[in-house]
Amino acid sequence: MTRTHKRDIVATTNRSGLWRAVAGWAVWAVGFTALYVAHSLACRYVGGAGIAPLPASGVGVSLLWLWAAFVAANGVLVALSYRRWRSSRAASSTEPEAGHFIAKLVFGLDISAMCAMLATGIPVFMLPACLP
Amino acid sequence: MSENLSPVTRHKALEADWRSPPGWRGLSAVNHSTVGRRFIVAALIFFLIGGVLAMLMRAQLATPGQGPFDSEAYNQIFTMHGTVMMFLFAIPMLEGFAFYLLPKMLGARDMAYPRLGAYGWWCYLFGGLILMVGMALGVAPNSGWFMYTPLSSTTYQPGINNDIWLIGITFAEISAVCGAIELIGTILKLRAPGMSLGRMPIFAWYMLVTAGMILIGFPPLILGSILLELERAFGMPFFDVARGGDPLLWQHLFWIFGHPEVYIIFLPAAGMVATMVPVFARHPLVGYSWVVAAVAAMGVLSFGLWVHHMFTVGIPQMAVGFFSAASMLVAVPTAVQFFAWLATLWSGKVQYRLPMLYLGGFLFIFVLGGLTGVMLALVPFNWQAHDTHFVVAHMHYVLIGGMIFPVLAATCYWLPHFTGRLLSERAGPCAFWLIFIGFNVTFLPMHLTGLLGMPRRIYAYDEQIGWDVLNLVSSIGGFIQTIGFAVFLIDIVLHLRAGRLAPPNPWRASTLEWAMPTPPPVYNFASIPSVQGREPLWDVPDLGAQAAGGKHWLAEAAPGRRQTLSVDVVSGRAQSVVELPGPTWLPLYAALATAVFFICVLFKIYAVAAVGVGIALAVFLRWAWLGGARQDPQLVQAAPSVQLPTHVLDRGAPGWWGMCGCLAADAALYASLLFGFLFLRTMAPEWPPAQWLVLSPWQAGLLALAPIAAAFACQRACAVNRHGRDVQREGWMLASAALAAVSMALFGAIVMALPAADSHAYAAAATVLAYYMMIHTAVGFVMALFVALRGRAGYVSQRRELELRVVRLWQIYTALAAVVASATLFFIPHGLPS
Repeated sequence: MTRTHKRDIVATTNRSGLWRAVAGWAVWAVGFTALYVAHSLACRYVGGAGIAPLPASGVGVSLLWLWAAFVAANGVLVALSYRRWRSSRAASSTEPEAGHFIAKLVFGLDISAMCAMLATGIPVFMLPACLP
Repeated sequence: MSENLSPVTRHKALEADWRSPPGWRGLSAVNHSTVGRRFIVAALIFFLIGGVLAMLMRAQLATPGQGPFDSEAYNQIFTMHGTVMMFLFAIPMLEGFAFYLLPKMLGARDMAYPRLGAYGWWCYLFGGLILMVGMALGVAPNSGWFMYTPLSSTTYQPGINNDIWLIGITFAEISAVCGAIELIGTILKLRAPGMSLGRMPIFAWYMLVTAGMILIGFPPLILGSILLELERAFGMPFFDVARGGDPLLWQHLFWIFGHPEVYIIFLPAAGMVATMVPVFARHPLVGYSWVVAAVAAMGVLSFGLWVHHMFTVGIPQMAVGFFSAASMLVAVPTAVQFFAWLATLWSGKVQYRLPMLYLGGFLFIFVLGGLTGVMLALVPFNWQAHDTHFVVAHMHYVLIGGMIFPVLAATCYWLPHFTGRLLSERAGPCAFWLIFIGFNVTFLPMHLTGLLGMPRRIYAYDEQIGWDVLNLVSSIGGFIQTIGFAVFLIDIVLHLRAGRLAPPNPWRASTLEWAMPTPPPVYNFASIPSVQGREPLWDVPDLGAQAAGGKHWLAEAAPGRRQTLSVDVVSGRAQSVVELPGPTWLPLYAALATAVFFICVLFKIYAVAAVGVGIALAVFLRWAWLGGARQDPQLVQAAPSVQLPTHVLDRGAPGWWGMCGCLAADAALYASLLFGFLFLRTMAPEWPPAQWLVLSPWQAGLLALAPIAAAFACQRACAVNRHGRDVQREGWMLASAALAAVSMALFGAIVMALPAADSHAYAAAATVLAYYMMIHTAVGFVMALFVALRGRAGYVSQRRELELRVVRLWQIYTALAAVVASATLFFIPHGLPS
């Protein structure tokens, strides 16, 4: 039990892990909401009905930038979590099991969130911005 | 770790501390096994009622022309069928299993908030009874289980029917939210020492995500129900286009709840599957980490799908595209789980026992339902199939395949744990094949009737259309299915007397719930086992015997106390000893007072409803007063070489996590309210209103300032308490209470200054926003005053600061909410073009 305790005490330093684990999908959730809200408000107040498709549409281009910003945010998180996962793998003989698991979980969640963000933006390329 | 007591003496000592009172006084029990069983039994009864309603529907549609019921009766039948199955059967049944199993799987003696669980059950029961009484009296809800406006408004449904739905469901949903808080607190904090997050049973991960989804997903519907009831009772026009409302707001609020609801039902069942598959494959779950990631991803993604129920309402194509993409994406994490289960079966040596039959049925049926789900995610197909029987077929393939079959498997698997006996291996397969064949005969033809254009919710159809044969086949299938369920239930009843006695751990499972005798003792573990891996019983096969022999944690007798361990969230390191409450009538009294409130609102007796609120508040304060300690408790000998503090000295105690969960649900409700306000402001046609309440910047600032000051005072109380200055602490807490009262008065003034709430949706939404803040500041006032009194009575000290920290959380949340509320009230008239 003493050995387990020492390992686990080190793992406690990884306390922020659970919150960090949901960061990637939180970015996706905010990005998804932002795209939906920005699109709705822009078409309501700026675009009007049935305006030209991309790339001429200002609304469409703005949405593209917005989407790209969230993809970039997800990308940064993926890079960070990949680095952490790799280092936890390298130190797997000394790293507490909980820390390694969290690192792997965070990476899995971050990369899936980035893929989801990429897929969510496909309609921005494919469809005219404000077609009713 | 302590072997001084014999196992029998230890058992007797623990039994004396943990047992529930006999006879009718057993209703005061709060133990998780009792509450879990209550949920399961009540949900089973509701399932039978819902099943009878389904059979009535199939009888009606079996032949063309007018069936036995007229349209009004049929409307009530299908509305109640959906309502009962979704709200009163599916979620409570799964919560019941979780309540019963999770502490045992996690290595705890009870759940984190036993009284809250009992209160939740009473709320569920009373809410369900309101609906049942309505049905018995012929005034059941009749606008569909989704209560679409304007059909459900007083213009078209002036009777009490839909009020019964709104009140009954809101009441029952309190139960789900309480349950979710309870589950989160238990999973994060009450685990066996050594059970890090990476070693948790997979079912706990599924339930953790599900509980989080309930906290975020249920409040939008609670808010929607409140708004619709306000419209029906007081004419506040949230959904009335002529006065600035919009019926689409209801659809948004309902489906922000409604779509995650499907996953809230599916995920616990999938967690059961993920628990059982490795047992019968004799192989650990393949890709544990990736399954956990997939479940979490699914939980979040499920909140991005709600508009796929609204593809035909006229939302712009690109927005529809976002939701279509998300709807297809959700197939990916589902597939990850499926492939993990298949890989586990592939890698192991499968034992074909009774639960595996149902698991096979689940895999087959749910995949079919998932595939039609991907079809419905495609916008052009959705437009064609919307509101047809194709959707009915899809939904039942997903829900019966994704929930009923796993629950039947789980019943076969865990029933020996409840009763100590095994189900019949002869009647079991017979029931399975009847249910499986009956199900497919019922719902497969509905895909075809749907594609032939048969709409949902029609009570009669013409003979010439060509739907008659398929409908007759569906009805025959429905009755075959019913016979199957009857066989299953008869088997359960018979097994209580005639079932073969189950050996210990009859399936040779790896999870901790099998490390105890069956039926289990009321305290679960004589000593709480230390866990060294993900499959504790495969790692240490005699762990159960070790625990019973007192070789692990908390083996010493603690007369009169119900103790279990609290651990660090991530590492599972033992942190403190939690002392849990025993049997009490308070949850029942609180639920009765809540019932008085809801029933009086239903009958519009508002003065008495206010009395109900007052009584409920008094009971809750009494409830809160009973906890804690007047002196700093001594350390507890948790193991021979380990002394731990009790939870009142623990900064991360379950109570603090409970408040976090409560605020998460509260924030979801608030976000839904703000969304509704902004939606109406930007999308509803009849805006601007004739009259605004225009606030000056300093007025808006003052509104936010008072709650901020209340939070600051609370923060100061915490700070001085850390230096042991008791008098100053009480002073700051009283100041916090006074400032909360000032805030309440300021928001009250806003209510008075607003135009009449029934004049326009703007006034109605702003009024609700102001009332939301008034309620929060009032609660902040009561809490601050209460803790000041508790401090005076000796329940708070330099080391016992948990209660202060809980109140501080509330006051900080209220301050943040006030900032947003004042900004909203300020900017709604000024900030957006009309």
